[in-house]
Amino acid sequence: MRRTPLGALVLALTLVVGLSSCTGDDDDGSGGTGPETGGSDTASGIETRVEVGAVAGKLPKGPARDVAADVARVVDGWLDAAYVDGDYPRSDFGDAFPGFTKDAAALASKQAGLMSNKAVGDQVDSVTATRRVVRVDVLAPKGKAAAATAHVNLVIELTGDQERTDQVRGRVLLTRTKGDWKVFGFDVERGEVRG
Amino acid sequence: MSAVVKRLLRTTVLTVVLAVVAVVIPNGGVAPTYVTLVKFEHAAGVDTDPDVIWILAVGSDARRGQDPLRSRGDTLQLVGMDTRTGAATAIGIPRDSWVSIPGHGSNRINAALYFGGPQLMGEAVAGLIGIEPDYVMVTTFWGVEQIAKDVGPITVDNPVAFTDPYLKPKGFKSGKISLSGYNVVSFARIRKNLAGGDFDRSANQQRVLKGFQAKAAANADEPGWIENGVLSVMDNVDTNLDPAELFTIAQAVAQVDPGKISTCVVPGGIGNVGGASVVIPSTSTAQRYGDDARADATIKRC
Repeated sequence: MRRTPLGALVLALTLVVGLSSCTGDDDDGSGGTGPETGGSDTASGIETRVEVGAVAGKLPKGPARDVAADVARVVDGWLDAAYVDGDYPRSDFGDAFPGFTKDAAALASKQAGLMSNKAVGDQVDSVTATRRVVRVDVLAPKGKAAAATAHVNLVIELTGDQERTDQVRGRVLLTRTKGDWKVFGFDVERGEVRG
Repeated sequence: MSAVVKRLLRTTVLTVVLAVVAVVIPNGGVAPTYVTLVKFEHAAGVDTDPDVIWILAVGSDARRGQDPLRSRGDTLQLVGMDTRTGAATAIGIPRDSWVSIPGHGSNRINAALYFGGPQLMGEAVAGLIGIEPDYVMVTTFWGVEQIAKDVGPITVDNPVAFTDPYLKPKGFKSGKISLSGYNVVSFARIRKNLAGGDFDRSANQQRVLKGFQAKAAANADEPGWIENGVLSVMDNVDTNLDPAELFTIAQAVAQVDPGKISTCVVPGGIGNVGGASVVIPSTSTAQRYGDDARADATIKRC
């Protein structure tokens, strides 16, 4: 079959559409284009899409994917404990920060209205995640992962007295000590979004 | 088919495809398009141990081929950050300050690096200010230049135009100026044509530090920016911090509140010791700076 220029254009655009639709890119404007490492199981809503972001240092793709998966597992623990999981209406958020260092958990607890659902938990009947993306930048001097930034984009739909859609996005900062990734810092924003 | 019909068909198909693109792409993922951001609130924090970190930033005057850790420490900035509040301070020390150097009598403070490396340099500064740095970071002219190239242009607010016939014949204009690579080094290095000599140079070094801080804060969200910055520092700075500690500090730097940065230079008079011109530092003021800033990295007045 002879392919016309017009046909090629349509094909190209269709491919672009198809690819874009499949990747469902992060809409945080940061252009997460790194390879996906697959999903991470979560308890409610959708599963987390984990991406390898920038890697500083010589870390091959396979180990980088492993690091991203390990980091995302820790971050997922927080997203579940702080936002998605639990029996709503919910007022107890004392365990919202697993995987955080003790002091980082204390810092997060002081800002629990943003770093968890504490501010609205008792007015909510259900929480459903409709977007969970964790893109992981890795610091790996000499090929050894030492620290990571997890760029988080979580969208949750709340039902109940608080009927709304919230987005939690920003950076979660981790270092690895004795093989375990721990969150030592965060720079996160949260807000209501409307379509 | 006529050319007009072909063109019409092509336009129609293209319009349809673009419409499909416009409609499908935003909704092709797992969530709808969000076009209205009602209000976003912000939470941030970094856990460091201790909460107030003190870093002595030393610029060695080593030339290529010399050991930077056994040369004179000509740039001396004691930098504190309170990661609970986002406050930060820098205390500049004129390099010719005549002080006591443990085990070596009295000498210019910059000689401490030559006599005993980063450890003794830290001890000499602690003797003057009363704060012992948690970390000492020593870099060189070419190290700073490389870091400046790696992180990109920084902006400094230069109060007075100045030149140097050797380092910067065309000089630096006053006001907000952008500095890159070599110019970062020369801006921080030039002394002779500054009215306040070494005191003004120290203040210029603090302007460079503020420029780097602003750069880090502005780019912290960029993928891999902090990570690559840490690699650059590792390549160009001698330090007793491991990569994870450097990363933690870099993130803390990015979270510093620009409105909570205070900078002072230890004042003093010009003296003469053995025929050599030195700075006789105001030790009481230096100690006051230390007392002021020790717990919260804030100096209320210089």
